[in-house]
Amino acid sequence: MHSDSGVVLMAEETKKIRNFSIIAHIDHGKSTLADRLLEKTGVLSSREMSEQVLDSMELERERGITIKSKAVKMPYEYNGEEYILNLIDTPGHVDFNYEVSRALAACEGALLVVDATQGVEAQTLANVYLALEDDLEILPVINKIDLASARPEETIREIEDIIGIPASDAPLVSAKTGVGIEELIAAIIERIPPPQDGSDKPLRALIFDSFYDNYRGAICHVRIVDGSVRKGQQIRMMATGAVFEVTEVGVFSPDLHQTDVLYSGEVGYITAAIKTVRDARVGDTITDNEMPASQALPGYKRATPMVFCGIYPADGSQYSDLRDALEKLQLNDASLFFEPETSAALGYGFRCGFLGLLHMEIMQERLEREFDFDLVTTAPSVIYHVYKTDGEMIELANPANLPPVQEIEHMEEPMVKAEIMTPNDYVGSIMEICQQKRGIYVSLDYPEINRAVLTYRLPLNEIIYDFFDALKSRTKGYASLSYELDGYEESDLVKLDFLLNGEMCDALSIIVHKDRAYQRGRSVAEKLKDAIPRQLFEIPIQAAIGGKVIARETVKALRKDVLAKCYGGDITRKKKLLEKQKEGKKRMRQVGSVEVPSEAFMAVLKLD
Amino acid sequence: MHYRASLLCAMKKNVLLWKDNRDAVDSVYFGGGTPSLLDSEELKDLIDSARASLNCGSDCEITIEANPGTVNREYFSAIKDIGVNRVSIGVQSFDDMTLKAIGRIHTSRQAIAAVEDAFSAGIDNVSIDLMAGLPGQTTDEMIRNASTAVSLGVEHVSCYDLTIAEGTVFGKRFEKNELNLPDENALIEARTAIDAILENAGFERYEISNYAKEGYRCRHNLHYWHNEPYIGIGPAAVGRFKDFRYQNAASIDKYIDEISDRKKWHEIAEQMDDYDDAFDSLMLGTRLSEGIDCENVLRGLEPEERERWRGLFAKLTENGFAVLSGGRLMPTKDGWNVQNNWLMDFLKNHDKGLTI
Repeated sequence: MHSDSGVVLMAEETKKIRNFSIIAHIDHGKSTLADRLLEKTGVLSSREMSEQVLDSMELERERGITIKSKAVKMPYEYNGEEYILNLIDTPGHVDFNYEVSRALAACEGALLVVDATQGVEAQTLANVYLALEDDLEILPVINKIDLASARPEETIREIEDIIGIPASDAPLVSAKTGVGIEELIAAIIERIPPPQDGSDKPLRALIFDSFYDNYRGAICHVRIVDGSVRKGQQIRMMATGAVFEVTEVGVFSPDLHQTDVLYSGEVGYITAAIKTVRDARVGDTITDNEMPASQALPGYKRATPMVFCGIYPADGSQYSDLRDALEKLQLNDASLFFEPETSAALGYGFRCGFLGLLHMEIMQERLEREFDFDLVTTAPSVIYHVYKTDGEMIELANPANLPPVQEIEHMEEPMVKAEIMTPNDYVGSIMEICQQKRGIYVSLDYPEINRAVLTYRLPLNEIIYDFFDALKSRTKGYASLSYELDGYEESDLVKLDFLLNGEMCDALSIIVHKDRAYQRGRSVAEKLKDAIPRQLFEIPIQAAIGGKVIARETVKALRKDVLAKCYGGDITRKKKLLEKQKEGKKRMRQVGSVEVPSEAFMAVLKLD
Repeated sequence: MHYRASLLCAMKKNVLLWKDNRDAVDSVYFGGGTPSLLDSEELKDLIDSARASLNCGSDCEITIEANPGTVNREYFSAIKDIGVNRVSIGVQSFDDMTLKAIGRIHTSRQAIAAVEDAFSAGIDNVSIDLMAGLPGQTTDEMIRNASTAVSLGVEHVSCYDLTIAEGTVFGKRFEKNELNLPDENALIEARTAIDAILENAGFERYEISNYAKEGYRCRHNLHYWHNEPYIGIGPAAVGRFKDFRYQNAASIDKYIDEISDRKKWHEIAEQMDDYDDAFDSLMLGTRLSEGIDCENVLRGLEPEERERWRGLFAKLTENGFAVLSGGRLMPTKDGWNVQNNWLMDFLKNHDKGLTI
């Protein structure tokens, strides 16, 4: 325990802390702004700065989006006083709302960055609402004012009209050129409230992120709400009850920087030789083992995986490595769900659940890049409710497990309420898409001149395929989508199977609405025809519902390869080529006698 | 010493290094690059050194590759006088447009002239190389090339399909879809017609891409296809000796240095075990119409492994890709057409890779 004077001292220090995150639409310049803040506060000199330090994952930089939230501590002198600014980074895509909410829970305020050339986007709105729910102070920031097409006054009006928060004194900045950054920092200090001082209470620290380090175990990113934590302290995870001894505490500057103690209001990290990832769950509250708090901090809105797919190692012997990798990813992304499953075609793998399609794609890419896996992925599915004639209800995530038709009483599919924000011109096209996707019109509002909000009720399984792509292409990228689960509804669903050379391939089965089955069966069969390379025999591809074949394509037999010469100097080269081509074939999956490349299992996904 | 002279000197030393190491040599082949750059004196020097050191008989087949436009009647007379008794002429096509499209410097007329010059110089064993599947090539053109070969009276024709290799100029143009290549059906149609024309004229398709009149099979190349040893002389040349394949240094300077050193003049390109050796016999032997002697090929393999190979033979027979007769596995034309694929399938089902 600390001395009384220490506590008083700390209460003063707490008033100098500002914990905030940045909310912005993709491309509105969040990462550049974060870089500029790091530079201005001297955490990194411009020479040290590789561009966009906070987006350290290669994948994030390539896609220009932030996937994992991270934090950084920035000391700053203002009016002769030393302040501590903690920036907690948040992801910007609809799939990651969950992560946004947990980052926000560690803050007192949020910068709402709006591109002065683009205005407010639907996506931004969703995150602003999350922040408002958490009672955060929202500080609007108008970015990209250096561009000729910038219209700051209009943007300010938009923020006031659409979001309903005052924005007339919003800092006007250019993260690119650095204009207005000092004024922005002043506004952060003046307008975002300091953390409430809880230094006299028992320790409560919120885990808002965690990473796994091979040497130190789990590294928990925490916001100390009450009390303090130091090396050697016995801590307890309030959800699991697991007890650990703290081995290190520190702050992000932006690399891990060890300190003696973390006090109430501070943001930092804790390591405690936590070896099992389940013991460092994001959202859990850390307390003192001897003087525990009576109540945990409010948890986050638990994220529900909505999209499921099978993920299999291309090399079957890597099954347990894949499990380890999934566990590590789950450590800092509790929204990732997985359980073992087996497939006749693909062997042993996992059924994985994701927040959305982008989340799914990013997880697959992280597995492939960070863990170096070759993966086979099945088409995404949602959870269907299958009511059986014997009264049992099954929650079905893998279409291959659908009971026989005669045992099914009826089925329900998940619905979403989708809000699509768009300039007026595209309302017609969007309604057309929604109609095609079995959408039910709910409302059409015009919150502003030339900005419409369309609300539709749509089956989730229509959204997870190509809805987003269709939306983007039909509106030149102007429309944005946000959606939330909106219950289950009875639906006339059928299982569509695919047979290759007469053999059913369980990994290709999908569940579709009856009215869409024929068209779907035909287009998937066509895709498969292109995806499956010709082999030494003809391969019929059939789409079938129950026993009934509804579409058929044929991969013609390969009749001739290149007849090359092969003399004394060609033999080794030729064998090398055969070995190389053999490796390519080995990566394919054997379905009966047919070799199916990994991509084919995704063929059911990308349809036009 | 002159550069050219030092290379020749090194090559002669290279021949000497193989003295005492081998049985009789019954064929010599000058190929790869442009051997007609050597004048007849230089060529004679090399042939003489082979005769002196390598137990080369008087009936030895001595072939030289020649490109139209670089040779004439005098050249052929000169090389005939020093013992060259077979020429292989790189015609590729008798269509000027096609020749230009593939960057050949010669014309159809020069190609015909080269064949006629060889004959009139008294070389009676003349082979030509033709290519099928070239950019823009029609089925008609491929068939016409075979007819022209017949009318010229050559004894041997090689007819390969164009191979597109990654990273080459053609490879890049192929990826950009800039090559107007004939499709599979056109190639099958052309190959069938070429077979018919040549077979009608007394040729036999004795190898996957080679046709010969009786008595004119290429003795030299048969050694490769029978998976027999061969000696490689010159920079980058490949040879097979005992259980390995080797390659001489590719750089001319390095080659000359290494040969003079006598310590090490080649790199082992491939160290083969019994499985590799058997695979070579299979891969090379099934290029020939005569096929392979099954038991002979299986001899070095473990009993279990032999069963696997017999399974392949049975499957090939079943699919119509080969026939088994008198202990020999002989490929059919269909089997030739997809040889790469069934070899690959066979390799795929084997845990152990080839040692290359």
